[in-house]
Formats: sequence, structure tokens, C-alpha cells
Amino acid sequence: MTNRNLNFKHRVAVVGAGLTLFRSRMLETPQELAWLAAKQALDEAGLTLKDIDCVVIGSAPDAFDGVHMKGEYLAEGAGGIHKPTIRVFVGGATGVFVPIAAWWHVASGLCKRVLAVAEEKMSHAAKPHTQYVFRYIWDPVVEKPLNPNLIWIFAMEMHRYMHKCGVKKEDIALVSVKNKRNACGHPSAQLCMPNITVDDVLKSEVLVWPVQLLDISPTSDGAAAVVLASEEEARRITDTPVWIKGIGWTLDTTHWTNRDLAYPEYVRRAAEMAYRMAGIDNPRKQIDVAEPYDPFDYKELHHMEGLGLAKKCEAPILTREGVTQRDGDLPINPSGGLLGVGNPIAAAGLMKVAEIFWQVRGEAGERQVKKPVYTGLAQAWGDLMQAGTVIVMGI
Amino acid sequence: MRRIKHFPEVMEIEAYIYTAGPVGTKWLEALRAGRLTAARCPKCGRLFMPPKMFCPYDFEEVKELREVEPVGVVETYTVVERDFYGEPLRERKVLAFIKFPGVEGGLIHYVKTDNPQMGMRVRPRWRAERRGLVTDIEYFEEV
Ligand SMILES: [Zn+2]
Repeated sequence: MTNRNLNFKHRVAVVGAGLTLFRSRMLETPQELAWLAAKQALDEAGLTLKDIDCVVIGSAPDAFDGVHMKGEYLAEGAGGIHKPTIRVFVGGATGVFVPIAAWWHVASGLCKRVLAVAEEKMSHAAKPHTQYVFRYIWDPVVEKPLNPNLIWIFAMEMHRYMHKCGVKKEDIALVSVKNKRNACGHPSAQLCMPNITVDDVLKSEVLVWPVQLLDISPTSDGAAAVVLASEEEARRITDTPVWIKGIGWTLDTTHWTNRDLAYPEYVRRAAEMAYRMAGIDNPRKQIDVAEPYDPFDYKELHHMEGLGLAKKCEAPILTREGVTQRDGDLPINPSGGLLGVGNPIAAAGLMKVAEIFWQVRGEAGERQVKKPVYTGLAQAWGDLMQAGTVIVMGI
Repeated sequence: MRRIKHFPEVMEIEAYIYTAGPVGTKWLEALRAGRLTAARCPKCGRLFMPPKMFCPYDFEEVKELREVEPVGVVETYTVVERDFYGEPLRERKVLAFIKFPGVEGGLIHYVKTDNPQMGMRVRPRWRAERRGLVTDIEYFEEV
């Protein structure tokens, strides 16, 4: 089958999804978290481990769980023993990269049923703080001697975006309020805050101006999983497969000083790849619901613009007008996102894919968006804030 | 004086705090009580170590531990002659992989012996003060 400029043999569908609780510290070991999510995804698909041909695992730096070769370590809980198993890793973008990698396992004809599992146990990296892991992602020559902190960079990016687009903190805080309220409908959520207001965000502790405590997602433990199947298998497994219509991923330079900080080019390019494959030329009209990556509130806005769901500098306006609410014309992060559900890095990205799966199936419960969903999108972003991963799914 | 050629860094987090998992916690509690146990799968009935909340063979949930007769068999062993820094040890250490009949997997542990043998039967020497660690077994000794 030839679809635009990409060649693949088989259409691929998602047929089941699973998710653990997201919490700041879970008793379960990383393997056990992976198993909880994997088992749930298999159960939802009505499959057992025996039905799985290949396994794809995603997890962010080994340093969080504190187990080097984390992919190999997780393999047992992810159901990968004695099967072709691989771990993929593109930092925070990993969660959406896991189903992308699983997609090519099936689309190529290599495997028929693939289990894709993402896990993160950030709480293991205990002292002095989980954030310390990020001390070791910098360029050792030009950045490391400054002892940079990840939040500094976000603060600078956020500030640049505010400056270029004339966005006020109040507008950005609306994203945090929306997502932390949305999270109250999510059974896995770590930060459901039903009564949070813009004022609460603006009065929260200033970490690195303009970043305040309630602008940020928490650190979390958790796992997520999806089962992918070829068209023939998917139709056998379920009456309601959710098709993967487009995938895209790109990297920008690791030097964040050499990028446009106000506009995420890495997301635009990844989205263009996915849209071309999915036959989407007007995402604002053709995407019914989206889960852009929101580890910080301003990133949701940033990424909406990169995804073409809003024009440059337009996302804060759409947010203010209520367009991005669950009952709005373009619901954004109805799950509650990373800001509300939590941020076990790779698992958080895959949680978004699971959300789109459930939204398309009409199985999102009280999170179900008001408008009918034919096509949805999930996106993640990571490495040194340079990787973009996008997946488009639909009926 | 620091040379301009390099930027030195020690890449480590100061401390990790690892969770044992629900079944692993029970296993450690049993060790503290001086009992050796293995996880039991309700579906296939296998007993296995290390214990975890799922059966690695069929993915079934595991909640139960069964006490295991603490007599193991040395499946293989090595003799450690030097420490981490390459210095000769004052006392050589025997490190063995010990299997327990009827249990999948097993334990790596020290065996106190001057004459290690493949297939030798060993049992744990428990510490008087136990804290819920695998080192609550000080070492294994010949039966
Ligand atoms: Zn079993």
C-alpha cells in the first residue's frame, strides 16, 4: 500500500490500552508497573501474552529508575521475554515514540500483534532531588560549567514566547487550571484540583520567573501500554479498532540557543510528516481532539501552534475563549494532561495515546469530549527539548 | 590548577531509594522473620525467585508466597580473590548461585566453605539481628 510519500504494507490499529495509577511514589517495582499496564492493555484487547509477537518498550533516562539497561530490565514486566523486544528512547518524546516504533513493527509486516509499554519510576532517584538527573543532559563545554537547571531553560523559553506573542501569565495559567480540573475525571490522576483558580496559579511559589509551582507537572511513577495489531488481526480482535493514520517524528539541534524559542519547529515538522500520511491539510478543522505535551502550561499553547491547531500566538486566545475545554470546539488535553494526571515521563506520553484511543472509541467516561470524535492526535516532546513525536489516530 | 582541556564532573545522584514491590516487601518481611519463601503463581503453580507480583511465565497476578525448605544446591560458584580496587582480599570469598528444589530461579549469595563444590547442599546462616534485607542471611554453609 502506498500512502502519499510513505510506503508500508499493513494498516495498523490500536486494540487495547492500559494505565497504572500515576503517583509520586508507588510501591510496585518498575517491572511490576510495566506488567500492571501491559496486563490491562492485553485484557482490554482480550488477548494473552501468548498472542503477542513483538514487544516495544519505552523509558526515559536509566538514571530515574536507577537501573542501567532499563529496557532489558523492564522486558519481563513488559512481556518481552523470548520475543523480539526493543527499547526506544527520545527523552520526554519517548511516550509517543513507543507506538510509532510499534507501528513500524506491524506496518512492515514483521509482526502482527505488538505490545508497546512505557514506564518511569522517577521516585527512585531520591536524593538530593529527582531533577538532579537532568544535570547530566547538557553540553559539557558550553553549558555544564554554568550548572544549568532544566527549569531555567523552560523559564527562558516561556518568557520568550510571552514576549513575542504578548501573552500574559494569566492567559497561560488558564491551561494549568483547565488541565488540573480535567484530571478529576481521570482514575489515574495524581493532581486533581477541582477548585483551582488562575489566582492560585499566580500566587503559587515562584521557582524561576516566570515559572511558578502550579505551572509545572509533578514528578511521578507510572506505566502505560497499548496493543497494536495489523488490519486483519485487528478486525478479528475487536469491532472498534482505532486506526493509526499518521506518525511523525523529528529532532532539532540539541543547542537550544540555536532554535526559535517562541515556536516549536521540531513539532511542526513531525506534525507535517504525520498529517501528510493521514491526508490532513487543515488540522484545525480535521482534528477533533488533541493531547499535546504539557509538562508546563505554556507548552500546551506552544505545541498547539506547532501542531497547526492554532496560528502562531493564537493558542492563548483560543484558550481564553473556552475553545480548548472538554465541551469546546477543539478540546485540548481532556485527560488532564501531564499537569493533572501526572508526568512519569515515557508513561505520560503513552497515557496521551491511550486517551485518544479511548476518546475515539467513546470510552473516556466522564472525560469524553462533547463533540463527536473521528480523528484525534497525541504529541510528545523531549530530549534536550528538541525531539517531536506525533501520532494521528481515528476511526 | 585546572587545565583548560576538560571539565571534570562526577555523574551520580547522591542516593537512590528503591521500592521492593508488594510481593517483594512480604518476601523481605519473611527474611526478617528468618524464613525463606518463594512467590507462587495461582495459574501455573510455579514457585519462583526473585519474587514479584506477576508470573513471568504467564503474566498472572501473584499475591502469595510459600515457605521454601531452606536447603539449596550450589548450581555454580566463583571464588573472589580481590576487592573492587584490585587489592588482594584478606579472606577469599565464595560466591554461589543457589537453587532450591521445586523453585524457578534462585539466589546469589556467599557460601562459607574452604572446599566449594558444584552440587553441594547449603543452608542459610541467619543473622541474629535482621532488618529485612537479603543480607539477613549472612552466608550459606554446607549442610
Ligand atoms: Zn504462572
